[in-house]
Amino acid sequence: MRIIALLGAQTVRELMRKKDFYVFFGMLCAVMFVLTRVSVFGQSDMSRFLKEAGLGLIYIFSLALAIPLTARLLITELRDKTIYPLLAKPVSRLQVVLGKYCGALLAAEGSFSVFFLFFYLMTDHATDTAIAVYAQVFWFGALMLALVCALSLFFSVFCTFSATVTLTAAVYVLMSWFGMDLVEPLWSVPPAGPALYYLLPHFEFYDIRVRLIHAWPPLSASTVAAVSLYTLVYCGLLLAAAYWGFARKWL
Amino acid sequence: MDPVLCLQEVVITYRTRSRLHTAVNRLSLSVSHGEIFGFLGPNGAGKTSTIKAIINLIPLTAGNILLFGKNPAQAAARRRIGYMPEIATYYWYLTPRELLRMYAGVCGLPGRPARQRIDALLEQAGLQAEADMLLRDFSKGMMQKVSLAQALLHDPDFYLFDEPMSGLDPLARLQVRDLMKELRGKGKTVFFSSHELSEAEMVCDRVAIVHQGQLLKAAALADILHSKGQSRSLEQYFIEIIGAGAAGGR
Repeated sequence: MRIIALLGAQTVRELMRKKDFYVFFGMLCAVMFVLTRVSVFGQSDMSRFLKEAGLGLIYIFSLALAIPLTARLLITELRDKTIYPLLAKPVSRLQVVLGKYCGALLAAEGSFSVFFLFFYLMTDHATDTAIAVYAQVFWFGALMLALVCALSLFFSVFCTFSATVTLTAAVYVLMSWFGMDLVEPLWSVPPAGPALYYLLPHFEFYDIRVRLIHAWPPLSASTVAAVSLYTLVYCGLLLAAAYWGFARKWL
Repeated sequence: MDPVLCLQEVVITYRTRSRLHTAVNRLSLSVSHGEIFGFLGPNGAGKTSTIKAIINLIPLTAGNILLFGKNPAQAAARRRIGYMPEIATYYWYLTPRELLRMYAGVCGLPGRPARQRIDALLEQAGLQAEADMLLRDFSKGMMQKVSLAQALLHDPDFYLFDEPMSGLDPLARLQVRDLMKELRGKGKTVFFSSHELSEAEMVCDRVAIVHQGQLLKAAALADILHSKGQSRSLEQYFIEIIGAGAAGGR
């Protein structure tokens, strides 16, 4: 555990030193500030608009940080050969994969938490929406990022940096925007269709922003638990596959 | 006493797109405690492949490697290695102090002794003033010093240096040679690869010469320099044996 924590901490330090987070946070602050000042079509109650735009920005910025950050972790280690002295020490390849994942997760979730806290403070949360909905939107966003990081790390074992970023982003966009439309026709072509349905990560599960925007009631605890379990299992499988590939890599 | 390192009939084969390339072919040798062992050969002889296999970075096609009697895949065996790679690149956004602290944690060195050891190593390397500078601002020579410090950090029993003299100025080379001798004086074992024969001649107790993945000679340096009643330099012997090896290979 100590080695995984050390490798994770080093990844977080990289994010802080590269200053990407500050750029995105600055942009979020600026856009949110502007949004609170504008009046679209002369409407005075901009609460829903602000929530929709703000949440959209948080998702975009969090993904823009998480995907490249995770994608370059192993690829840079291999390209710069920094992996050699590391693996010459009593460190296993499994610890490297888990350490990199934990670091990426910490950095991505930390950034997302700061973005979300800022969003929470900027919106009129006291009046119309239950705190449970805010908590659920936050939790689902965090789960989505955990899955995105695992997917990006998995692709990075087999692909180049640009291919990893493109593939991860493509899978996320396709599945979260067109997920059900894409996979429903697959049911009609067994066994490959249903197999593919279960194989693809269902990012559409995680987008519950609409509940916050329209002040809908929170999801049931069993739904939250099921999605959390799904994420845990899917991330576990992706990390196992990433380790399998990394363990067989010639360095 | 068991040898520190034992290679038995090691074969390493790379698969390229069109064919199989044998980088190391049935290489057997052993390295004893407290000696400086030079692993010599021209470029492409299979030196780096062998070193990578010793630290378990690449798998063996055939044969066996034992490090302190254990498989190098075991963390316990690698705990006793201090490895310095040929190309010294480290995390650019860390300082040398942070890098060494991370490696100390990885090696299980506890807090206060680790800090003291890091300070001592930075001082020994002449990097106290740069200890909190980011590594991205370091020159190649400074990076090489950091590389040496990380290899020495956990006071291992076996040092594995891949082309340690490469890119160093004469003064730095002298320091590396002195360090190797100092380590030998402390009972440590040093195994280094090189094609800098004059450097090897100055420090080695024993050498192995490899060419095209095959071992041509492994012997005490003194026996090589003074064999058959004549004295010669290591370079003369090397050219002689490599020439014969190349002719044999044709």
